[in-house]
Amino acid sequence: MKRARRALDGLDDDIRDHIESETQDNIDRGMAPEEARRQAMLAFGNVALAKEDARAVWRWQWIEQLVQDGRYAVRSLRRRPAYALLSILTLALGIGGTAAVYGVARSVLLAPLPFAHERELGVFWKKTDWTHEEYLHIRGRVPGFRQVALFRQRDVIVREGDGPARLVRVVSASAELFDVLGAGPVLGRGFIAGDDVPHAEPVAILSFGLWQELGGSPSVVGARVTLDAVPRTVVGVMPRGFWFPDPAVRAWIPEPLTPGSRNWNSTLVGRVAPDRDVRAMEAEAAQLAAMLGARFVYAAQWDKTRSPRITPVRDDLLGPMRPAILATLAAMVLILLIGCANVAALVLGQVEARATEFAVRAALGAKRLRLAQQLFVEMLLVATGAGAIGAALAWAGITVLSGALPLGAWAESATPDWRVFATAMPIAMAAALLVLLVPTVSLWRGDLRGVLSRKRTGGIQGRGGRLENVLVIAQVALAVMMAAGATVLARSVANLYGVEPGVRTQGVAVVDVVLRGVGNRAQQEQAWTDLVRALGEVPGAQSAAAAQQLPLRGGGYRMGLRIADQPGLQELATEYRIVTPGYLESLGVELRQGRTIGDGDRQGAERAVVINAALARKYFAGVDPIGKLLGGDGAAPSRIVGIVADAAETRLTDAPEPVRYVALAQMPWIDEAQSLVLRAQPGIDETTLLEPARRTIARVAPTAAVQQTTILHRVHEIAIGPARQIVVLLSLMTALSLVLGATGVYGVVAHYAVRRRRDWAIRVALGLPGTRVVSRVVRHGAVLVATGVVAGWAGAALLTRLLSSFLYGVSAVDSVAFAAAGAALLAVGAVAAFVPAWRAGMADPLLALREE
Amino acid sequence: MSTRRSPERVELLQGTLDLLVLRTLRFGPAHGHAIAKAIERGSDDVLLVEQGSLYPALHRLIERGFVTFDDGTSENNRRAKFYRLTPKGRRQLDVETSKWEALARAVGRILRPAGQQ
Repeated sequence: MKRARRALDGLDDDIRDHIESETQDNIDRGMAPEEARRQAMLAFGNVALAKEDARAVWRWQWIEQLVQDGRYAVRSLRRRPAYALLSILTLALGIGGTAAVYGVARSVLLAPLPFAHERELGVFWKKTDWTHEEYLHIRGRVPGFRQVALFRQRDVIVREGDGPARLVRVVSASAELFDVLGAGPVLGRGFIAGDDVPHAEPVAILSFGLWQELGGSPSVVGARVTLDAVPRTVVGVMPRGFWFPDPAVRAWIPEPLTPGSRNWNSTLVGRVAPDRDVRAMEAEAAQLAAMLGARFVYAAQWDKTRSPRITPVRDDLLGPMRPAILATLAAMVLILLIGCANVAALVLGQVEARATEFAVRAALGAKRLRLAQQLFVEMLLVATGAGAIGAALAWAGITVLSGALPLGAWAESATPDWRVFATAMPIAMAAALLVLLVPTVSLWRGDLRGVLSRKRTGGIQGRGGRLENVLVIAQVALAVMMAAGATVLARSVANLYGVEPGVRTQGVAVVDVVLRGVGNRAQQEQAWTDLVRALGEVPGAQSAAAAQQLPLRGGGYRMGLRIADQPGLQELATEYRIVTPGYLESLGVELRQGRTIGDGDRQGAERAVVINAALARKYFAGVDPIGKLLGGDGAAPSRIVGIVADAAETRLTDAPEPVRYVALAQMPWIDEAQSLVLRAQPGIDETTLLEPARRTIARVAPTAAVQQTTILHRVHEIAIGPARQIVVLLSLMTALSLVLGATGVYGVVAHYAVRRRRDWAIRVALGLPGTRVVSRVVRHGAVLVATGVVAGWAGAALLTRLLSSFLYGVSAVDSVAFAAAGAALLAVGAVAAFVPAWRAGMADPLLALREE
Repeated sequence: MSTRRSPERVELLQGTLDLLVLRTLRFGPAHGHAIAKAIERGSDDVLLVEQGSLYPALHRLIERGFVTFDDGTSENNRRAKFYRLTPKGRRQLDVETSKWEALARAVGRILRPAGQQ
């Protein structure tokens, strides 16, 4: 191609010179200069065409060669269908997987956030823990910030006509929110100052999705929408693709900021001043903490002056998903690399099998470059096929992955589109180049003419194959990395399952219900009592009860604790659960002493409280707590009536914390959101209770909105966390990598055996026992695998660090997992090596000698 | 070599231009315009060649390895290529010339059989 460039370079000059010379000749012949030039142009003809034709000469040559090579490659692949198919499928698996995970990563992690200049946005420490009082104190004078908004997420009930009430997630925020985010509505307006003062006219801004669901009419601005029985005026619609703080939020409403309100439930997000970097706001955050410390007195647990920190918005919103996606991506890339090594070994085998062909062609004058070029075209065909199949796999895989990965509200933003092809093809080409590296080196180094002479003399050709060995070592190493990663994770998940949640997670259906606008406290209590009673009568249910917060979900009430003659506990908030009679029994929390909350614990009777073993241990060491009085929860003191075992009321992995259980009927207030639990009768699948329960709720309390229905077992799984989800994925991928690795070991060892068949045949013919040959071949395989295992351990030590945020009770460099991974590969490798070894050792030596 | 169509001028047969270029270069390196002029003069202005078609022909010959070139300066003081025959081109010229002669003789015999003369 260089020749073409050199030849075409200066073509213009050449032609210009030509015409000038001709013009000069014409002038010499006596023509007027203008006529001379005209005649010269006429004589030359179409300049553009001449140039085009000259260029076409070279273009053709290139395409012709490519077509020729392509045809040759198709022919040669068709002659070896098993090889072609194996290569294409192996690569397609890796390409498809990598493209799918990349597709998910791109739409979730790499997509720009729908906020202007996201690098200027930061989320304040102590998320969901800020109060209106604090916000109003610092509003407009947060050091280093242009503007700061307060927001919290809420579920509100939307009811259209007589349809079932449904909950939608909204964000309730101070008026600054959209200014901070730098996002504007597509219709109407955003928030304006004054929207967030108490008793302001209630307004709402809809998400594009909710607007579409409500009809998508442009006249929606100014229309009314009823959220939580409050009619609100729609003042704006946000553009398609806008979300904050996650894609599940359907509307934004102003939060009426109440001076003196101390509800710890909000989050602060701010845009830094133009000259600041959101990643370096330590000094400003400390300044703000000092401002807060000067004005407010904090209990030790929620001291906002401690460890103040601003987290960049991207890290805050997407950070939790990053390790899971990256770990999966890394695993997929490993599989792709293993696949590449496999195919490279295949191609290498092909090159050696075709050594004679290549040697003959080289002797006839084919250049090495041309031979390499043909390999290249062949691989290009394979890669194109693999890329196409891989893209199809990725298309299906993205949907599967977005369900399998812990993406939360982002699961739906990862949908397959044409870009899987745009991803799969470059990956395929990169893989092809990687694959070609090995045989090209071998072709370059190999003495092609030597092959011809050696072939004829036969005999010892036991050397060589070093590249193949390197390949199989690399492959085993990669598989060990995968297996070690998956095992570490699996062990961590097993540890989590081993943590005793203190409840019987099987056989419990859960319905989260929000009940609003029912009336006064007594009516609310009656409504919940009716609902629980009706649910208890659902066929198949043994019992039903309600609680403000379930175990394993974390984040329930915490209340101050007061115990007679134990001063200073007031400041210590402890977990506080408000339940209905039979709740602890329904969950299967073991009763240790006394009784649980019963029907007799009602308004008017003495307040009863059940404590858990941790509370008894901590505050009543050596004393019988039954009959003692507890206070500090802002109501009348309550008498301890029973002690139950520790249930995981906070996070699963936290040490048991002191917990109190009190009766809903004896509370001065009733929460509007409750989790209703139904214990299924033995032998009944709890999931079958969910639909009847939903119907019962709709019948008994038509205004109640069902937030979600689930089962306690699922709640437990969620508590175990994202690791549980990716461990399934990683295990599947590990199995795949083991299969690929075994194929590689098998292929290389088989090839090793075939290459030495003649020498062994001679030796066996001379009396060497065949078993000795078998052990030699197996040993060869074992050495390769063992080397690979050691290299893999080193790689795994680096890789498993990616997983460390998921791990519980197991080190990222867990010796058990590493040993298991190594053992698995050794076992698989030994089997893979044994098959060709047996064949080599037990073959009839005469057959081997007669061949060729 | 002008484009005026007159009955006494003939268009070139396919492929003949390549042969003529090779033949012209036999006398030594030349640049594009000189080659065109040489062909024109050599045929006593009988052959009708569009000068522009010379360039694709030259590139065809370079691609096949019959002609190579050096960068030089023309009499107009412009960067121009001087084309010259390669040894391979010289052999090709011999082959093509004898082929052409054989063909011309054969065609001539058919068109004007000996008996008719």
